Amino acid sequence: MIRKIFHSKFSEIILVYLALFIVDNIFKFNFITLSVNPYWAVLLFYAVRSNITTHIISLSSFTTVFFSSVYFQNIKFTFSNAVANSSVLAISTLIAMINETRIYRITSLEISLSEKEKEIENLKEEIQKQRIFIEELKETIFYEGEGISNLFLKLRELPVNDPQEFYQGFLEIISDFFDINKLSIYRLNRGFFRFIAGKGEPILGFSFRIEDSVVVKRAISEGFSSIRNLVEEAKPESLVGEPWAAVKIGDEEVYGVMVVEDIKPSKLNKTYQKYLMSMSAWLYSTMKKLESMQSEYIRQHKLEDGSYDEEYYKKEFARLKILKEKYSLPFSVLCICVLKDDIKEFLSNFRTDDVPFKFKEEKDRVCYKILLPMCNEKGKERIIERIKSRFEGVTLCEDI
Amino acid sequence: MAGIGFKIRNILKKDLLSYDISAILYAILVTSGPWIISSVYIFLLSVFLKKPDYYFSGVVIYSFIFSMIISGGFSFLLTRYIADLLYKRDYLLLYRTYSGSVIFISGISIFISGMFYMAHSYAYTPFEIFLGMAVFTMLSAVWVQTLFVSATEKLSPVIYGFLVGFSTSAFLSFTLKGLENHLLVSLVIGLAIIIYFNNFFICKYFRMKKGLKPSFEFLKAIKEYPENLLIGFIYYFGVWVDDFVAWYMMGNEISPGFVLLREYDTAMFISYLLIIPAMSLFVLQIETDFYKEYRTFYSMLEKNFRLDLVKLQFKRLSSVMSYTIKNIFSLQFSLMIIGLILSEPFSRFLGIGGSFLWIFRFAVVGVSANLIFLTLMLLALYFDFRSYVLKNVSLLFVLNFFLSIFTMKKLPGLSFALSFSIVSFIFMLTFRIDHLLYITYTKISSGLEKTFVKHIKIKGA
Repeated sequence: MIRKIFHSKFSEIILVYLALFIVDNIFKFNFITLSVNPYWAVLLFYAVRSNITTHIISLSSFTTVFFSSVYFQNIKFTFSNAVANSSVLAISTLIAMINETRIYRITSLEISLSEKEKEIENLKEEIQKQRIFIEELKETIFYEGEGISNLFLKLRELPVNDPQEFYQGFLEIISDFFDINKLSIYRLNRGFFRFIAGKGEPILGFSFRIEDSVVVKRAISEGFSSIRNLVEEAKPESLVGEPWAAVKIGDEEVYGVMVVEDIKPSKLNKTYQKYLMSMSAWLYSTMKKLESMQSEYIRQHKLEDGSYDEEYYKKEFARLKILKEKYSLPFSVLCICVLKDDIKEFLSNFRTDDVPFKFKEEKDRVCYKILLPMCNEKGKERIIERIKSRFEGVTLCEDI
Repeated sequence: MAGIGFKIRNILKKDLLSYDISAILYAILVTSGPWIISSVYIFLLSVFLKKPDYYFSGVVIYSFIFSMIISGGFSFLLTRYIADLLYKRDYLLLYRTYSGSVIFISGISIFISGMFYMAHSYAYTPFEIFLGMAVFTMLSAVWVQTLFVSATEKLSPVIYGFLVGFSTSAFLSFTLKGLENHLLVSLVIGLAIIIYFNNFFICKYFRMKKGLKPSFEFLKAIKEYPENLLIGFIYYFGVWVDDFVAWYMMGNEISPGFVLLREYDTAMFISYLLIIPAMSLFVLQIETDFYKEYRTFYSMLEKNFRLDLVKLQFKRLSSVMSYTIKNIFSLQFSLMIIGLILSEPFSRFLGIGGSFLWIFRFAVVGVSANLIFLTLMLLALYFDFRSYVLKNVSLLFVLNFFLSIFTMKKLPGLSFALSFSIVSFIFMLTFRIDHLLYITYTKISSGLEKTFVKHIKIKGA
């Protein structure tokens, strides 16, 4: 601060007055008694050019040299000298005050400008809000007009004999209708959300736990959740890899979840939330019916040891093959032989959706082909590693 | 002076030099009108009356000084109380407070002057005592009335009142020459006219009916704002204490009980004229730019505006404050230097020699510093920094008192200049409103019910 002062206008002012004072004393001009006083030029110059703080410094310097001149040069100045000096001093102060007023007005205008900029920002925000609101209204008008009735007509035409086909069909119709680029459906099974319908590799994987996604976690507790709701509460880095939105499937019990992976952010509004939730309710009731029909069919093909008959295996194989071709949904076939004593424990290691089929039986061991839906090569490798580490004498068909 | 800002703003709306000058003249009239008129009256009497009346001089000077101390002492408290009433728009209580405060302060004045004359009753006739007490009491009442008039939007009628009152008084001084104590009699009549004018105007402005009982509720405000009362008294005593010391140490008793020091008092009296322009500028800026930003700032806080907007308004308020202080400082500084430059020719012109010149020079520095101090003090009180102001006025009083004792004989007036300069300098260095937002927010009630907090000691904590 002090350094700044010494390198500033203040030091310049002091030096100018000092220089004049020295010249005045050496040559005995008696500046302050002259009708054209050189000190006045400096005083008026700084008053005109700078702000009032500079003028005060200039005025102080003027006062110092004025009274020093009176003292050192023993000047007896006349009444007219005093009046002339006083008048110039008064004029310089008046000029400095006018200058200061201009500076103050400029500062005030700068603040007003900042205020106006803030107002513009607020108005822009308001416009954006209104736009979203208008969009929502438009969508409401569309859905509550012919949109929703058309949607239900399409959904009623979905095949119910094949649940997988039904889910995929449902997903396609919903995605198309709500303009969702990517949507997946998961079913809760033994604490894991397992992928049952969707297109391609889902961002949450084919299986995940509730703790793995904050959006899904919130959707399970509140029915619906989107990144937009969480962005103010959670840290931004914690939302990386999260889906745009999720809708719970189920009422009091959690049945599954619909995960919106790709959508235009502007679409995530309350109208969407409302209709997606009603779609999920419809899906929930249909899923329950389909699954009860499916479980009856499965029971007919299930064997005592927990595996399935060949007919069921072949049918499932064909179905998964079609899904893979149509929707790029992966599946794997694991061919493995295990000791007879370990059969029960061995089969309990698989998911309820997996389809084990006993194709070969020897004296002390049995060989199974197991269909692993929604499981790619990596998943298959992991399962093999797990089985090998748990059971001795396990051999893969290729190793035989 | 909440009301006059409106008038000044209206004048300033027209961006013309003539209107600017009118606004300045109006501000001068408002701030110093009664003072200038009283000074002109005293000056005229001293010029035209050939034979000096010492009792009259003593009564006038003592009455002016002590009435200012008494009314000034209460002025900070009353101003605050009036502002609260105006905010609540309780004009009925305002009027009742007006009559109550006039009665109260007149009562105190009667008591004090009564004590004074009891001690000097041997030297004066009952009529002289009555006149002396009347002048003192009436002047105190006039100053209190002026406080209430300031709350209105019109001040011109009051100025007319002063003009008529003092003109009548001056006229009677010459026409009643044969009467005993004619000067005091005419002054009492003049003051009575002023009181009547003020009273008439206040009643008319607040549309008051007869029969309203005076209210002394303002005395309860002492409990709420005790600092304001102390600030008033300590400040006014601080301003005059060097005079008292000067009278005590070097004064002459011009009439029994009235000790004065002519050179000292004249120097002080003339030097005070130098603050009129800066004081008017202060009123002009406070009532126009500052008050507008100040009101907006507090109304934004009251209405819970967004913090970024409040901060911008705070910036605006700081800017106008800095502008006001700089302008006043600069103007007063210039006037001080002009006063110092002109002091010698002026002293020659007046024909007062001796120690007058140096007393006058010190007085010029002192009153200039006093104005800066007063400006900062009033600004600080706007923000309710009462304890801070109290500390500064206390320091001022102590410094002026002790410095006067030690320096009065050798360098009369130095203590006045030094104490005001030192305290103003300290005030300027320490007066900050950077934390005003925090302070104001913490003062605002949260609306939560007051209750007890139970302290629980946790083991190991």
